[in-house]
Amino acid sequence: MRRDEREAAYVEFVTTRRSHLRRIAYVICGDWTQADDLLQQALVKLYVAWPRVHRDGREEAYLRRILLNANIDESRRPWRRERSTDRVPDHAAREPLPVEERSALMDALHQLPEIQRKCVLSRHWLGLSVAETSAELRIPEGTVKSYTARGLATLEGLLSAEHEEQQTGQPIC
Amino acid sequence: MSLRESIDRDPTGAPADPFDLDLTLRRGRRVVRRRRTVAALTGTAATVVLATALTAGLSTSGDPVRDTAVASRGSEIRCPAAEGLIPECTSQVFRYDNNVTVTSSGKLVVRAGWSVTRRVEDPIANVRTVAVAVSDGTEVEWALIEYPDANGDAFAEHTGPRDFPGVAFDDWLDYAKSRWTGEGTTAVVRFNQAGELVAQPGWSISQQATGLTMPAGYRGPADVTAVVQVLGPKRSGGWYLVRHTPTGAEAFPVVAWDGGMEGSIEGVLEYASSSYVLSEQGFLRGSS
Repeated sequence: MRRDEREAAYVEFVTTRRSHLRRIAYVICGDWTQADDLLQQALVKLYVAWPRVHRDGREEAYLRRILLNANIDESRRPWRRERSTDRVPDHAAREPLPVEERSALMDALHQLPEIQRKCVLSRHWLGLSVAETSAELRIPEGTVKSYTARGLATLEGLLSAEHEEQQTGQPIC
Repeated sequence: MSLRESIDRDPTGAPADPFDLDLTLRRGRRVVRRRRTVAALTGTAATVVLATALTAGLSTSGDPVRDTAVASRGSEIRCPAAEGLIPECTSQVFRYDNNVTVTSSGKLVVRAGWSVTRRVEDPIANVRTVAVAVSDGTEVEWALIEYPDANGDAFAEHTGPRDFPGVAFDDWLDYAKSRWTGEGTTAVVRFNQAGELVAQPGWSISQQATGLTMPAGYRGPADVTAVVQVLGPKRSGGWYLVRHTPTGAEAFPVVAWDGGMEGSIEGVLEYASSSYVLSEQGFLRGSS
């Protein structure tokens, strides 16, 4: 595949699907900066794998797998790798979203352990089957079921507590 | 309302999208170029002469920025306390509160009050990098930094003894190099004909386990069948994951972040199973 052909198809895909993929990255990470970094890395990998992935029509599945398999907790560690530059950025540094702009649902999702969150999101948001989730996350199907069940139960508890807190104005201890 | 609907309708707003398509394309092209270069080197490395010729060819065909980077090696810019006196010493240069960096023109810059205590040029073969330890007299930061390409892009990793308690700079550097390249070392141990690990000259084995099957969830390098702890000229008590190769053995150093690894065969396996960053293994070569 010639480079201009590769890039035309790649650019079209990225332009069309990026908003949706960015949303997936955010729901997985719970942080827009981290989500944008993660998606950027994933899109570079997609570029590299494009001829093979595009031929098989697996572009979105390929990116979803990268996003789901990213070790979010790992990247929160104090050491990291990055792309550095001394060019002045084209845009101002991003202000974090105010806390109140992050919903109770997102807060609750990100209180789940990472693997439980990924199982819940894969099954109940992305619509993957148990077998597909097992393949995507590389964990046994039984583990997918138990993590999903535990994640949903925890999520329900967190959201109920949040709801009661809003009703009474008192934190639930 | 289902969870799917709740998430789809979630009101959390998104900030402006900083996505830069041109930058993504440049980075993608760069990885593709690098892979082709590595493939070419692998396919034609039958003779030292040819490999040397290729390396020389790569050096002379490098972009002007890389040449500048080479020319500027060996010294660093120590920033004064007042910003603006030296063009390289701007707040944009030191990202994420790092205290040392390399500018896009290839200059090593150290934050005011900090100085270089160790500097290793080109610790990774065929990739222009610098490893440094810097200190302000109290804190220590370690960094492995790639000299930037023509676009100013480069990989960099910053950490320090606080993240790796009890680990020496050289041990961390071996580990970082292995992760960046996805390659182990052949200099430490080899398998003998009986399938046992034996130490290479200058090294001794203090613990080993061979014929291992990696536990479920293992995320370290592929095809590993052994774990070994060695004593050597640079490492004391260093742990490696080991796999067979046609010529002997390839050993991957394992150094745990935040002391999170018990010093035993089981501890290394447990660490590699639960915490090893497979997604970062070999990223410099553009693994996907």
